[in-house]
Amino acid sequence: MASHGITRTSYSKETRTAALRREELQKINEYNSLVAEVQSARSQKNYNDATLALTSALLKRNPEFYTIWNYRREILLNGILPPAVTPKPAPDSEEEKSISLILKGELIHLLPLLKSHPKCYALWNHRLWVLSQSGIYLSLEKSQGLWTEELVLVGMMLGRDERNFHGWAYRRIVVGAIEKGMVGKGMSLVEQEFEYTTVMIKSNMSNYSAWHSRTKLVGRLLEERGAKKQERMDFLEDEINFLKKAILTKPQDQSLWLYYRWLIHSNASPSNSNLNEVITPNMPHWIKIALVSSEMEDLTDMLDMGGTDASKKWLLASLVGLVGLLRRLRRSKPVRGAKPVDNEDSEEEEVDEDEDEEGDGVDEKAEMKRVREWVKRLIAIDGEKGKGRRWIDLAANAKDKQKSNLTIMAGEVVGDT
Amino acid sequence: MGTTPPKELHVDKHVAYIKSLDTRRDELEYWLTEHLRINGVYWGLTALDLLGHRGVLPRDKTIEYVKSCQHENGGFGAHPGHDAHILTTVSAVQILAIEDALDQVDKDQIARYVASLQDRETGIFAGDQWGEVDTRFIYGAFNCLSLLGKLNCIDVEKAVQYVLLCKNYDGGFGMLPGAESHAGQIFTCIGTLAIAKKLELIDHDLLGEWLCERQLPNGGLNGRPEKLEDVCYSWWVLSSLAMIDRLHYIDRDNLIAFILSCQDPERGGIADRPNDMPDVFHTVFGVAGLSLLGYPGLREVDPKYCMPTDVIKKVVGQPVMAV
Repeated sequence: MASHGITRTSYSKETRTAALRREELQKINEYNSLVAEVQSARSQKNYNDATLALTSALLKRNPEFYTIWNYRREILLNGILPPAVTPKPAPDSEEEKSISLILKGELIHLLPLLKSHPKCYALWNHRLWVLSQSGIYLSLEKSQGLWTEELVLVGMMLGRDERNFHGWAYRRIVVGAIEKGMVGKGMSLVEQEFEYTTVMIKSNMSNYSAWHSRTKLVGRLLEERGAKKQERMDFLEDEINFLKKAILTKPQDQSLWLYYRWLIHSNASPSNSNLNEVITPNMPHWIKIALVSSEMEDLTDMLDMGGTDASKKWLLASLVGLVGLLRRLRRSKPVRGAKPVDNEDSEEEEVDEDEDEEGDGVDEKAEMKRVREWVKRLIAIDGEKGKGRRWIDLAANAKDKQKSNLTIMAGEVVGDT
Repeated sequence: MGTTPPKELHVDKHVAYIKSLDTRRDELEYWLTEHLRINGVYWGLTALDLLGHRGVLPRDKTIEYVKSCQHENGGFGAHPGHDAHILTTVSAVQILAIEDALDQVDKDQIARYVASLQDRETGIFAGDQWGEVDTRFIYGAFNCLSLLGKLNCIDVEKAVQYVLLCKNYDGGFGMLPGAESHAGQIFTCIGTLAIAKKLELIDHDLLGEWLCERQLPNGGLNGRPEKLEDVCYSWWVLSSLAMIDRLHYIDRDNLIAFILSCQDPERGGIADRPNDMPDVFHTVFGVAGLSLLGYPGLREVDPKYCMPTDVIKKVVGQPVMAV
């Protein structure tokens, strides 16, 4: 019913020959008898190898039939797996081996279907259910083995479609389950997972799923490395360089610029809002200003490098964002009596000042002139209908004193001062 | 786009197409999609209604059909013989609301079923007793419980907090905490916040920017950066923009032209992309998108529910304005 990407001509009912129509009617009859057989077995509560095979046959034809997955799980629980008992069967006992084989068999059985239906919710969901049973029936080691093999499978699925969002979400669940079962301190897959995003990005820098995943891993990665201030600063610098190389190759790719905004804004904002997603949580205020100023210079140089305006849209938008960030930084300053900066644990808190404060020796009027120029170019690129309206709104809000106080980040930067 | 993009909406063709859907029993596809039957009735009924053809499906038969999908636990399945699930329960309640027949079912029983799917620790909802979790199911719960006037049966605050955990730095939302932003999931999260009257908890400018960048040069919308356009995002993206009052960030004429180019001009129905096979899912979201864009002759649609605005006004009360 929700068909994607099937062309109209390949379907046209009127052009089907009588033979094709007969063939379709026969397929319908076969399919419907199979459905009736499975439903009748279920209503009789038949839970055994034969009915399990029946559901296999039906699900192969229609993996979206969620009710049949439910029946399949009922069969597994009531007719195939032994009743769950505490304590679990002894590790490597015959009983454990046989349960492990059943669960493994179920996962292998599903593999071809997943390859042909990689976006089928019911399939991913059933795999998770099977894996969750391993925690109930098997020793930790055996269960971990199944989850670990699953990570290889997700890698294979993402190799076939690097943007499959089921695959990426599933990967996080699998990694979480493996980590939960890891014994001992410091057991974590975060290094491996971070490296995985690097490999995916190197194979295709436009993979937004991989960049996104990086934002979720980086905070934990550095925490687990026990990274100190300098290491964190170096990490940020490396990350900016890694990203810039990609940007120079493909400046019109929004995946890269979305990551750029995260990288700069989450680390250099006056206050870090989400500490789990920050590389340098304790960056001193003056370094934040230095970082943003240097980024502005770098981006301005890129702007002068030539090329069409259309390819510079994200560059211009990022510049507007950076000026907004810089102005917010100038208007905020460290709390008096903050701990010394060399204290690793110091949280440098900052407050927003209500009153505008002139930046030290900064020609804000000239800055504003440049921003207005950039916004004009953005409106020309995005057009005055649709997308471009957000730049027009931004310029209008900036002129409205009341609104500009509410939209410091965006609005003020284009206001006439 | 096709060689000569159509300039008009083929209303009569679409009405005929939707009315024909239940007569296609000689097509294997009809049988293979039975697990979406009740959703299909909701999609078809809503599309017909927005197209100005309210009441063309037989009301009594429709209500009887919906009732025949209900289980003892109060939930509804996709069709008789299909298990209860939150997504199919939502469609059942939506159909009954449109048909003004909510008084014909035990609202408390349905609400108890939906409430039983909430994890009271985290606030998230499962799809059914088998435990799959997803922000789609939170939205489903908020949608149908608010139609039933039974939102008080669940922990609204916990669910809202869970939705906020799914928010990303780019302003969008994913299916679970940590998952990538996706226009469909954004609709479910923004819809949940809108129904809960908590839209002030998110950054509208940031989200608006991400959403408007879904529009591609051919006018169509995609669901994530660097992906292809698809008519169904005309709903997920547009309705989200409407809820945060940023609908004007989309080039209306271009999107209208794109949706119209996805029509099957001969047999009716709208497809994901030009020249593809139409289906009722893309038909309703194409039509609802056109309605949000103010396309002439269409009935007004409510962006939170994808149902006619007058139905929502009657069932839920006055519309909640975007904050």
